[in-house]
Parts: sequence; C-alpha cells; structure tokens
Amino acid sequence: MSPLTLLSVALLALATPSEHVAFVSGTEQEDLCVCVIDVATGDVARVGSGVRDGAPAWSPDGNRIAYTTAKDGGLRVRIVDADGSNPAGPEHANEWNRQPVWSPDGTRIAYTAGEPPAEHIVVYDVATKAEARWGGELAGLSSPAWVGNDQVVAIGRIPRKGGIATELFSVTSDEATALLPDRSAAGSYVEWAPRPHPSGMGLAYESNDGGDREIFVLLFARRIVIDVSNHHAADWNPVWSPDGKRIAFESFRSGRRGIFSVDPERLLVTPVMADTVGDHWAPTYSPNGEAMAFVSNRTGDPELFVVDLAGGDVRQLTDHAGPDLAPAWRPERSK
Amino acid sequence: MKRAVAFIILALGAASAGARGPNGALDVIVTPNNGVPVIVAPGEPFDALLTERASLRLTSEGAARALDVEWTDGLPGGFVRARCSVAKTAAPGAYSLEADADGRKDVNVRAVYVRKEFPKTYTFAHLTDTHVGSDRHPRASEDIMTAVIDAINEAEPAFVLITGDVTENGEMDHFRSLLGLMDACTVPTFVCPGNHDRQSDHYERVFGPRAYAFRFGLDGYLAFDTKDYRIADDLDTQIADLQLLRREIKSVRWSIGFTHRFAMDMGMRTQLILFVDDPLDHILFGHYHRANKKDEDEVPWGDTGLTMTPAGIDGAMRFMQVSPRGVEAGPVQRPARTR
Repeated sequence: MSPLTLLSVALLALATPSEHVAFVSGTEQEDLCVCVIDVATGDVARVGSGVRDGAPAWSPDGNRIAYTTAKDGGLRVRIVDADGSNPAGPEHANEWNRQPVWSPDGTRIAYTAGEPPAEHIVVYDVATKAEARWGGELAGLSSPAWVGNDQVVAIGRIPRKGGIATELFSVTSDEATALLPDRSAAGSYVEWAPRPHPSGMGLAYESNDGGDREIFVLLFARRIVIDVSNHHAADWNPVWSPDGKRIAFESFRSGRRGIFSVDPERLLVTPVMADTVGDHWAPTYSPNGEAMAFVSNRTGDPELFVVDLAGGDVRQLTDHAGPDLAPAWRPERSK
Repeated sequence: MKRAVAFIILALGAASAGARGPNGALDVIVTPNNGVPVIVAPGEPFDALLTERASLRLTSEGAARALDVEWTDGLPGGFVRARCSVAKTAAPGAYSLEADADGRKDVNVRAVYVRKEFPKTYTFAHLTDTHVGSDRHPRASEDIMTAVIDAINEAEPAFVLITGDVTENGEMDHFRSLLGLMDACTVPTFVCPGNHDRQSDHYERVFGPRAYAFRFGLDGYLAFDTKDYRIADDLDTQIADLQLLRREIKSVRWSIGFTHRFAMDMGMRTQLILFVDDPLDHILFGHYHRANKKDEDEVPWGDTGLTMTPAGIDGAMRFMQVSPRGVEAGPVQRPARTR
C-alpha cells in the first residue's frame, strides 16, 4: 500500500522494533509534558516536568533525555532518565535556554542561551555540572549541532546591506568562524537547521540560496555545497537516516506539508508521507532505519504515527485530545 | 443613510440572538464570522468552514438567498468546507450566513460583505489592544470602544484590522462584550489573537482560526498568532498554515500581515516564511502600547515595512492608506468622545 494513502491502514500492525519514542503531549501549550511511548504496545509514560516541555533529545546511549521546560518566565534544560527518574540539569546563567543537543560521546549538551540579538551557544558538562559559553564573545548564535565532540555547527546572525542574514558557523570553546566563504557579494542568504552527517563528514542544512528554501549538503573535506532537494516549493528541516544514506525533510511540493526523503548522491527525491488533506512533519528514524515516526494532523489534533519505510504501512501511535509533538526515536541502548 | 445601515446591522444582531452558542461561541459555521468575515464581489465564490454539512443561505434585511455549494468533506478534525457562490445579482452590503444542520439553525452575523468595486486606493482602520473588560482607563473600555467604532463608521474605511489583546484576559464575558461592540461597526472587522486573549481557549471558540488570509482587490492580507513565539519552532502547528497562506496571497500587489506583536525572538520559522523567503510588504501590530519609533523599530530581514499602533484602551487608532505607492500609516488619532 502506498504511503500516500495514510490513514486507511491505521489498524494494521507493523513489524516495528520494540522501541521507544520520546515526544511532548498535553491538552494545551501550557501543560505540554515530555512522554515516552512504547512503539509496540502504545504504553505511554510521562517523564517530563509538564510545564511547557519541549525539544526532547535522547542521549547517544539511549539512557537519558534532555528537554526544555518553563521556569520563571523563561526556559531551562532538564535531564531525566528514560523513566523520568533522576531529574537534573544546569543552573543556568540565562533565563532562556533552548534547542538542547547531546555531544556524540554523551558527556556534554549544547544549547542556545539568551535572547536575540544576544543569544549564544552554551555547553553544559554533565559530569561537572558546569556551563561554559562557546564561540568567544560572538552574539547571535543559535541552533547548535555537534560535529565530533569538540565542535558544534551553529547559525550565526550577521549584518548585511539593508538588514541581516544568517550563516553557518563552526563554534568551539574559544571561537566562532564562518564555515562557508563570504558570499555577500552574490546575495544575502539565510541558513537554518544544520544537521551533521552521522559520520561527521558533512552537514545538511536549509537555505534560501537560489531563491526558495532548499535542503543543501556541505561536504567538509571538499568544501562543496550541493542543493539536494531542488524544488520551487519550500523544503525544510533535514534529518539524516541512521546509515547516512538518505535525508528526510519536510516539503510543500505536494500541496501541504509532507515528508519526503532524498538520496543525496543520486539526488532522487521520494515521498514518505504526503497528501492534500493533512500535514505531516517532524520525521525521526528508528535506529535501524526501517521505520519512521512523525506527526500528522490528518485526524484533527497533531498525533504521532509510525510508517514502515519498506512496506509503506502506517499506524497511528497516539490518539488523545490535544497535541502530540516533537517525536525523537530512542537510539540503540548501550549494553 | 449610514445610520440606517447601522440600525439594520444592529437589528440583525439583535434578531439573531440565537446566533453562535449561548456564550458567544461558534456553532455549526466556523468561518466566516464577524471577526473573520469574507469580502466578495457579486458572482464570486467564498469558502465557509463548518462542523457538518448544512443548508446555507445569505440573509439581509429580512430577505434570504439560498447558496449553491460545493462540499469538501474529511478535513482535519472532521470539518467540512463549503465553496459558496454569491449570485451575480447580489446587492452590495453586509449579509448574515445562516445554516440549517439536522434541525439546528446557526447564524453568523456580519459574516459576508458583498462589494461591487475594489478601488486601487483605499483606507482601512487599524485598532489594537482594546482590552475590553479592563479597568485600565478611567472610562469603561466598552464606552471607549463604542466611540472608536462610531468614528470608524463615520470615516467609512474599507475594513478594520483589530490586532489582538481584544479582551483583558480572554474571559468569555469579555468576548461577548466585544462581539456586541464589533457588531455596531458598519464595515468588516478582521480580528487576530493577542497574548491576553489566549489565556484560555475562548478565542478559538469565538473566532475560529488564529491564522487566515483574505484578499481585498489587488492586495492580500494575512493574520497570524504570535503568543507562543519563543518556543514556536519546537511546537508551533501554525507554521504550515502560514506557509500555505503566504502562498495563497503570493500574487498580489501588496502583501500585508497583521498580528499582535513582532519580535526578533518570535520563532525563526515564522520569520523565514514571512520576512525572508517571501517577504511581506508590510506588517501591522500592537502589543507594545506605543507607536513606531524611528531606528529601533524595524523588521531587520529586509524590506518589510512596519506600523505599530498604540493600544486602543484610550481610543487610539489610525487609518492606513493603501495605494499604488504602497501602504502608508496615518497619524494616531483618538476620537473626541474618548477624551
């Protein structure tokens, strides 16, 4: 059955691995809580604070979850075990802290701290419980993503004639430097959503380079940039498959927000979930790359679904009044 | 004549006390309504969103005209869409949209406006932060808004944009008061939510969608919500609608956004859609309870113009002129009766 005929197969059982997906769920924005659902049984456990929780991110060993939650009018980063126990987290220097991402070795968490135009990258050492500002004194940095354990790629806001633009920056504990050559003579580009290749050999990101928003891949060694999604409709939010051979992304090329994937070597785009009735977004691959969880509003409220990428069968994972958002599939756990 | 029109509309509102639910909440017809109306030329279609299929008609001054409808079922949430055709012979003016659904009657007053002409140069009114129900001003907020509506009726702009914080804290009583005040307006009133209105879910119950677009002649207008702006990129479900709505008004002379607030930390995705990839020509908002100040107020991404209007709690408002030259803000004014 084609994945384009989403919900008619809602009752079909899928041969998905018995694994877990973290997500946020609530009745409204104020009471969103990080939860973990067992993909096989549908059992849901609340593991977050339940106060505007968001952005759940699994540690690389699959044992802990970092997420954001409201505190004193701002947002802070919290860390819990997969069952919600052992809550911990930084004593923040800033009121607003967003977009937490774990380093590949699981020892540190990078996030965006502060408010525009002074936001910057902060790295939290899980063992010492210390925060450190990265990227020197450069302000306007956000959306960090780790490349190795000692460098993050971030989005930097820069002045341009007539306003501002954004560029990709390499950020270390000491400095922040532009990743790409200065292209200001050719135009003003706005990059967003950097996502490093699982091997660290390159980076997927989105940019309006060329006019409309597209998914690009930057290969670090060769310093070349490739437009891999090329379509006049907007393409957003790239996500690498675990083996690094495909990039899932969101696109409006079928009329509404849908999920597509591309083989970045052959530049072959295929639909994963797309129709003209509802929106499908926030894809997250299973660790073996055989399934994908995502959000769809096809039935009204945003709910979680899972699709078998080989057969195309789709199953609805959640069904309650209120939004279920931001799924993150648990990595293979360390033994 | 203007008084006569106002009287008729007031009478329509009074006659349709059964319109909406007992609390003022929407019933069968979600849109259009008196906060999200449609302005349409004779012979042109408009879309209505309903909870179920129904027999639809337009009514005005006691006369009813059945509508030919093409239905689209199975929208997210179980809603249905009715593409309604307005007769070529329909007279200009304000109409109620009425629905009969399985024995239930629903009436949305001031939902449909028929216009024969859409001039290249016209004015609209910008009103914001009315905070109906508040005691922020020595005079009652209802009295001040009545004076503002009277001044707008006198000026006869093409329509009014009311950019959020329309109520003090989103209580249903405040929304009910607001509806009564708005229904004294003789021109279409387009509303979007503010942070004060969204301290409950009553805004959606009273006005339906928090983001929508409409066209007026050559120009396109886009309403959107900015309450949850700081965490919007993680959790916002509005951004897909914004992308689609922006595309819906892509081929217009001037694209004009209206929302409650603009801030650099409003959520990157919203900014990419509206100010970077396909920049709006102009944006109007309130929230800050002040007018634009030079230099410190701007949309930094490019060429989007900006108009910030002070809060209407003391009767402040302004008229905007739209012409081949662009979108130009008139001075902030306060009707004499509000002083």
